Amino acid sequence: MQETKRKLKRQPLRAAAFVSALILIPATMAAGIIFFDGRKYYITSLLLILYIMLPFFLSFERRKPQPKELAAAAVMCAVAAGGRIAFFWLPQFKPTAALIIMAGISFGPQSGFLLGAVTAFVSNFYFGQGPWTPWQMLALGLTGLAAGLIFKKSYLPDNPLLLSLFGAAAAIIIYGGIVNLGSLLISTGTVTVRSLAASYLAGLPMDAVHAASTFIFLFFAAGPILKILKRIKAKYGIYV
Amino acid sequence: MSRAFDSLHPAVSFVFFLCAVGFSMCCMNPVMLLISFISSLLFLFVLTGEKSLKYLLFSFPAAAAVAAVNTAFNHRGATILLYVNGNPITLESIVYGTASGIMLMSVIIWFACLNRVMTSDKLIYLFARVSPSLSLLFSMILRFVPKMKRRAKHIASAQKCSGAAAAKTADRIKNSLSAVVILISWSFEDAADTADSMKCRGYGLPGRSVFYKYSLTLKDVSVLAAIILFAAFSAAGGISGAVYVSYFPAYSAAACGGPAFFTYAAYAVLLNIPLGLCLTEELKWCFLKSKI
Repeated sequence: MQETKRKLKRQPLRAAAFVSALILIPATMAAGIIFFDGRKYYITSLLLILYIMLPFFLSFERRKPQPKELAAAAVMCAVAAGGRIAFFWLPQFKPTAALIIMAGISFGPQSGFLLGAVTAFVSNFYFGQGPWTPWQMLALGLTGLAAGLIFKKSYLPDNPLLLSLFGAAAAIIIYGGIVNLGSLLISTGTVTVRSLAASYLAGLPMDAVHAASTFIFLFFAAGPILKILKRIKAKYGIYV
Repeated sequence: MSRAFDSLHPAVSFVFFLCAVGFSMCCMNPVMLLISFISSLLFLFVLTGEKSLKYLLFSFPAAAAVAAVNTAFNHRGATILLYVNGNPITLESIVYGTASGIMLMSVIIWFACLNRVMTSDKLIYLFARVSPSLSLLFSMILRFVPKMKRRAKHIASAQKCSGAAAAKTADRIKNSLSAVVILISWSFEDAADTADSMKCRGYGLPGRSVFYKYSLTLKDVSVLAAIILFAAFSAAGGISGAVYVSYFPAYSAAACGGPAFFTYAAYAVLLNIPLGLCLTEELKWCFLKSKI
């Protein structure tokens, strides 16, 4: 038992994150400005997304997760990815972001990011992979990370209204912000203030429905689901 | 007919799609754009038959929107055609927008091919070498999703049985919410059993095997070599500036000399390697049939 506990100790993002943050990201931005002509913003941004995600994946791999962690993570992602099935009769009404927010709160920011990114990737096996996949992975990952950072350490108490407001804001600002920027870069390859504003405005109706669904889901279901997650963590001695 | 490319080692197909999507995203040269667009469409036709037309129809509005957005928000370019609300609409931005639209269409079509060829089991096979835990996580999720679907149906019918008939939308939402909560707690309990079972069967011990066995055959290696060779030629053409075009302030292309044509040829060969494989196999089959 003692040994399992030691094994499950969370490891920091370690060197990979520092290398990525301090060397790779500035180097790529410089290279993007100097070398990649034409579609430089798109290529550079794809590489940046890769560098942001890589440390999370590496640390998960290094940790050699136990079967219980893996199974719990898989359940969380599968529920989030398949979550729309329960809501198939309401278009654009997705509980995915809400579930990833709860995963972030319950399992911590690092796992929140990982589960969000993995969920976006795997659900695209059903909805089709495309140039949008990395953007969705980053967006959902950061949603989980932000939820973990803000609520985990009790900077804010996780009362339902506050949580729901955070969820709605995250759906518009984090998810919408990144995915709309992504679709602008995919389609035009460059960013100007006006085209960015137009892209956000065009995406606003979709984002508003997404925000509303996240709000409703968190408001009504966060209590019971967070309780289940807490119980699972205590019962099996895991935190994903 | 697509079997010839499908049956290659996943790494070879993966490298091909990496090249196809990567080059398609980077090249704004109109000739290369057309080569990529036509090749992707031909390959998709081989893979899916008439369904490929559906993809074409689906991706066309996206391309048109891209062209429109570019025209509306990109005011660079020397040839001003007209002013709309005081903003210049330039010929160059229309040309650039159309080129971007074609690029987007070909990327979408390449991804449609990728979704056909690189099925999840192949991706998991590839990831398993690099990242065993993550690839196991992927395959577990992909297995859990259909299981959850089935369970969600069970829960819904149980709710119906117990008299929670939902006429009003608010009630339906409430029922669906509680269905998700039930689904989660049910699945977590079950996952703990899965985990115990994995532990008992020796998960994490060295010498793990994989479900699919692909071995790198001579054919795989030669196709991979061809892909790398022609990708290198195309990249060399791109880096050396032989196929350089600039859209702003005025459209200008590098001289259409030998190096440019060589690059176009290499690029066309690169992107049609899978098509060539499929057609060769089909011809071989027809020939063998005719001898019977």
